[in-house]
Amino acid sequence: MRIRTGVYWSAGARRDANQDSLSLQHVAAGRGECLFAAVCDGIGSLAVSEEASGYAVRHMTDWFYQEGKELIYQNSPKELILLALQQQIGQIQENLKKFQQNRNLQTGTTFSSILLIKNRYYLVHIGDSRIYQIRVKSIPIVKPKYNIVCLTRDDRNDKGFLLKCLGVSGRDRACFETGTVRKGTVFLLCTDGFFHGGGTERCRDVLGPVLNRKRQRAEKRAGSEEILERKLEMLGEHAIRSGSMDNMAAIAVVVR
Amino acid sequence: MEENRYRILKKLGEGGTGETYLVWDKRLEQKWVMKQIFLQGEAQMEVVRREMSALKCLRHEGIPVLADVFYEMDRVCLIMEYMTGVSLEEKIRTQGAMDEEETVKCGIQVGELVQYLHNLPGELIHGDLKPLNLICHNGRMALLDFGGACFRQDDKEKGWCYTPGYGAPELTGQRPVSIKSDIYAFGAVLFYLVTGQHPSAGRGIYPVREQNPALSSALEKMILKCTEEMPEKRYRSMEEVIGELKKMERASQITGTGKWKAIYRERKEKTKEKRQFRSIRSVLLTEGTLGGRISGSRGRAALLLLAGVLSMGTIPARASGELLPVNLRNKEGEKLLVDFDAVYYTKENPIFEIPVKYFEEGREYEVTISQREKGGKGGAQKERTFIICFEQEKNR
Repeated sequence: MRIRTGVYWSAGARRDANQDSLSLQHVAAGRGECLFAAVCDGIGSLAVSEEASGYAVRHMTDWFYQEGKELIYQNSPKELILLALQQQIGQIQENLKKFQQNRNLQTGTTFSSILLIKNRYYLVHIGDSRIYQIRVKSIPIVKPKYNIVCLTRDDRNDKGFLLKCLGVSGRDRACFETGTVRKGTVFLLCTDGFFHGGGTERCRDVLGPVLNRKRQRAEKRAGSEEILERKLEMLGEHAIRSGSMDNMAAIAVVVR
Repeated sequence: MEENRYRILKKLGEGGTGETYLVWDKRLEQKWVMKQIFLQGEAQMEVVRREMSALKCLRHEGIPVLADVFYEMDRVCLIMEYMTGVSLEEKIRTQGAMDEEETVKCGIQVGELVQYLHNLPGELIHGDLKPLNLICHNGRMALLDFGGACFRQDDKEKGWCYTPGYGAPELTGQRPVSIKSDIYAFGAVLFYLVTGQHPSAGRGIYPVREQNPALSSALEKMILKCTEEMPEKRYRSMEEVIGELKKMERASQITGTGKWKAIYRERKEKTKEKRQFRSIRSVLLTEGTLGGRISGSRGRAALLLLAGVLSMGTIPARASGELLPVNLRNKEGEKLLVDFDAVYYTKENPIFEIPVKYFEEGREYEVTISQREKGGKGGAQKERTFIICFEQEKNR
């Protein structure tokens, strides 16, 4: 399994500060590759939410290089990895709760992350950020078709209010999932500002073709990472043009 | 009736107490070994009783199964599993002494058989461990002849039959017999394997390296410790002996030559490769400035923050209000994690990289790198400013 990645991080059209945070840790572990990616959207209506989102991604990044590394070495079973992730999310909740109490304020962030170990992915999700999976829909005869699936639920009500996040109450439960990864898959992790403006169909049409083998070869020559980031930039710019005013953070992970 | 059931095929051996035959079982249609023991008094009855009581409770692939017992005139016949193979005595006689690697391997297998007997409830003592009773059966060592075997609790009143050279001194009746008697015999067997000389011949058991200096001192010490005259000076159990032998086996893999060395190296490299954790890409983008301090329990003493613009602890550096991405790479060109709490070693020279596309041709830029020491009372600060001019490329 070979992985290539791209990131996009922008304050958007009308905001000075970016309250979204992202972390992408791509490592070679033994003969394979492992990856940890997370996007967090600090809740704008609350105070210092960039701190909450920044803390969440930093905490999980530290965990990946410390405990996560050991779990990978030891070929730990999926249950153990999920348990470790649950514990870390619990710790983030606790620490954010203490932080709020000490500062006498309220802050919060959404959190969506993916951990790729061998041929398995582990998702952690809370809030309204999203993780999409793009794959080739049918055997390409003339023109390949791509399929996009949202792997995460949307923790919002009918009126668009966010129901769950890390921080604020400190009691909201995240969703943990695991599944197998097949070669020829694109994972897109993005905050709401990115997908609201762009739309899922556009994400599929822009990112899907990176799974095309001929295109892959051409991109390899040109430096695929750069091309992937340009595609994300295109999607981000399109979101701005479509009227998205929010901050944007997106990570694309291509598994070949 | 029994006579009709077994047909003698050939005579396998003959001893003072009886004879051994290879027989054909007409009913089951398979070969067995029939051991006939002449009943010439109470002593012989005792030998038979011991062998029967020992064999009937043994279940091990390296020990023959006792299938049947019947009396015939003045003799008793034990029908046992037929185990084919060459005895260690025959092997040494025809091929000469073994090398250390082979001796250790063989020793581990024999040791495990003896250990099995000692671990039985009541501790079964074989009492007559010798190369003739050890055969190589289907590539594994097998142990025969349980005529001298006895459980520890009923050993005091009985006399022991043993082979000179392999029998421990206490078997003569001077001291109580224990599993250490088998350890003595085991040491004597190892001596025979590496020297090819009978332990009772010449000057008995001597330091084996006098004859073959290529042997390891560990093996020599082990043989001498096993064959100590005083049982208390010998190894306490067979587990200890096997542990020593396994250590020697591992050591021979490390220091040995040929295939073992290659296999060991290959394994070592595989493990090393498995443990590698190399960063391919590490990005952390945030405007949060508190980093790990949000939890209030963190804090590393040595922080080296380069580039004053990076003092917020994030990848994007601020230049004239715009975000300017800065990458940190090691000397191999791999991207490193730039984080508030990240620790880098001073012996590594990190490379800070700002993509050229953020600079315009024909303009001058001022890039300041500041090094601020954190911790203690304020800390020292060093700063250096570079004026970089991007010239326009001339038309060729």
